[in-house]
Order: sequence, then structure tokens, then C-alpha cells
Amino acid sequence: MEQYDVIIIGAGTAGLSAAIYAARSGKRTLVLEGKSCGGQIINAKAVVNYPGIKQISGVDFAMGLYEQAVEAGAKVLFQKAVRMELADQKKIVATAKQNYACSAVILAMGAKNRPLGLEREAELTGSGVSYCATCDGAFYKGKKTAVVGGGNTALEDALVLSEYCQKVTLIHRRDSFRGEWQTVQELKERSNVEILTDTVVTALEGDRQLTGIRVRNLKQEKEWVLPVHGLFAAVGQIPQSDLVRDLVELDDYGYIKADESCRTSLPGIFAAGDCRTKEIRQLATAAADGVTAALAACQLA
Amino acid sequence: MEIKVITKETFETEVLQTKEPVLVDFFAEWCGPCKMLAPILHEIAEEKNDLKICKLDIDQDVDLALEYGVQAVPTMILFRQGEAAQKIVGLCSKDELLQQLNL
Repeated sequence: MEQYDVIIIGAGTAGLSAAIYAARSGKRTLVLEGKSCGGQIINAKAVVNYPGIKQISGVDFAMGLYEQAVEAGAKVLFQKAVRMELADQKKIVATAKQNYACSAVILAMGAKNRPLGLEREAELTGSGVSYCATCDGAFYKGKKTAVVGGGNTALEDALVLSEYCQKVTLIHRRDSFRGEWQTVQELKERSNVEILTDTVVTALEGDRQLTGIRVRNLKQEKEWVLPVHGLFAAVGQIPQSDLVRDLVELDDYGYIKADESCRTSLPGIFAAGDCRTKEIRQLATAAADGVTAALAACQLA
Repeated sequence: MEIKVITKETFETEVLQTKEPVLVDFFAEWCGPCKMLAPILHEIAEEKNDLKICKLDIDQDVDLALEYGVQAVPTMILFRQGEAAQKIVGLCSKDELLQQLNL
């Protein structure tokens, strides 16, 4: 079996940041990735909020991370980790192809944005459809946008967007919001915010760029088209934690429980980035997690 | 095997007249998904000794790309005995790629 000091599962921002630090610490480092490297950031046309980098495309950022990790000495393999088990002091990570052993594992599988389930949603993602108002909101300055969801993320997204968008329509399928009452009141006071409850989005309009959404009021059985340039889906995320479901503690939503040092409930197993329990999920915090987890892992490996 | 950069001048000899299967990656310098695909193709090239992988910049040889119906990048076409046998459009994982190409 191939032996490593640190195995990192997932080559997104957290995973590759961890790889840079682990490899630079002289550890034999393996990164396993089932898709392509970069994680969610590759969908961002422009990253403008990463401290120290004024502007970069998501793809260039991801490729920079990848090259930096490989040049530091990390091995990146495009194999999906399908199983993980503990054997004595070692951890075994299995892919469809082979098994790898290591002293410390960093879980960096990320999270997926829960899609709205609309036709052409994937195609228009990045061309009007977004899952992150903090990331993409500024591209819609002075334009009409809509936010879908009923939790705090949706409410806060609407609030942020209303600062600079011409108009923001908040759409929620129920008649009341799960998110904080105070934020709802704040939204109601804003003249450029419209709130549509009992309403769902049924279709996306626009050829190559979103131009509008079809919405339907469930109580009045009424359907109409809302002209918007940006649609922000805030209906939750799905943490990619299936691999370790029976191994480490997860919270009620499936996020891996980890402390500020990224330690999980099992010694030698760390969680970094979007797949762990935490408040803020941004590019910079994913990178920070990767660094923290790697340095903690290096003490063991 | 190393990935070869080809042009319409070398296409005939490098692809059509090659006995072994050749996977041609039609890419563009400005294409993000193409960049993401590159390390995956690199890994396949290292592993598969019976497969030749080439890349062709569609902006340099747009006519050739159109001749093979390439309208989006990345597009990968697997040539067997000089014939386009399989075509894959868009970024996909290594497993998906190998599966679709029956490799």
C-alpha cells in the first residue's frame, strides 16, 4: 500500500491550501479529487474579495492553487475517495483503484449549493443565476435581482443586494420566514425591496444571459414573469460528508463537527473548508481552514 | 506518454495516420474549463501507454475544428484508425471521461 503522511480529500480551496502547507512542511502529501480541482470557486467569473488579489478569475485562482501545491511537492490524483477506515495508528483511504495509508487525514470535500431544480439552471449559473450574493452581488449594481429562500442567508442576501441594486424581489414558498424577524422588518422598510410569499420560481428566461424569471403564486394560482438580471438561490447547501458519515460526528445538517483547529471527533482526522461546521464560508476562510488543518495534521504525521 | 500540441499541418500524420487510438483535445487559451481539464488529461497520459493524447488550439485552426463539428471548448474526440469514433463536450471528471471513451 502506498504510504503518505497526510492525505487530503478534496482539491478545492481548502484542500489545496492544506496541500501547500503540508508539502512545504516536508510531509508526503496526497490530494484525492473525484472531479476537477478548484471546487466551487471555478464557477466564479471574477474573484474580487480575496485579500491581496484585486481581481482574478475563479479558474485562474484554482489553477494557481493547483500548481502551487504540485510545485510544493504534493501529489494530486484524480481519484474519488470512496471509503475510509482506521487500522491501528494508520488511516486507510480507498479509491476505486487502490488503497492509500497515512497518519493524518484532512477532509475537504466541500459543499454543494442546493439547486432550485429548474430547467437550464446549470447552464445559466454564472450568467445570471448565482448561489452567493456576497460573491456575485456587485456584478448586479443598479440592476433588478431576485433572491429565493426563507432562511437567514436569503434575508441577508436580500439586504445586501438592496444596498446597490435597483430592485430586489425576495421570493419564498411559504407565508412566513424561518430567518430572523428583525431582518424581515428591515427588508419591509426598504423601498426597493419587494417580498413575495407563497411564491415559487417555475422557469428561467433568457437565451445566454438571464433576463427574467417566471414566478407562480401558490395561493392565487397566478403565474407571471419578473424581469431580473440576477437570481440568487439561497435554499441551503449540501455538505459532502457521506464518506465519513459513520466515522466522525456530524451536525444535524450533515456538516462535520470540528473545532477552531479543524479537529474532528476522531484524533488524526481534520475537517477544513465548507464541509465543516462554521459561521462564514468564504474563499479566504476556506484557505485559512486548509492552513490551520495542515499545520495541526503535520504535528501528528 | 507526453501530450503533443498539434496543428492542421501535423494533424494528418499525428492523428489520422496513427495506428493507436488518439484523443484530441480541442481547446482554447481563453477557456476556463479547458484549463481545469489539462491536469486530468495529463494524468491519463501518464497512465495510459496505449493512448496518444494531442491538443489543438481551435483559434489557430478554426477550419479543422469546424470540420469535426467542434462548436464548444473543450471538445475531445477519440480517433481510431483515422476515424472520429467518440466525442465528448465539456469538462468532466476523469472517471466519466474514461468511461465514455471505453478506455
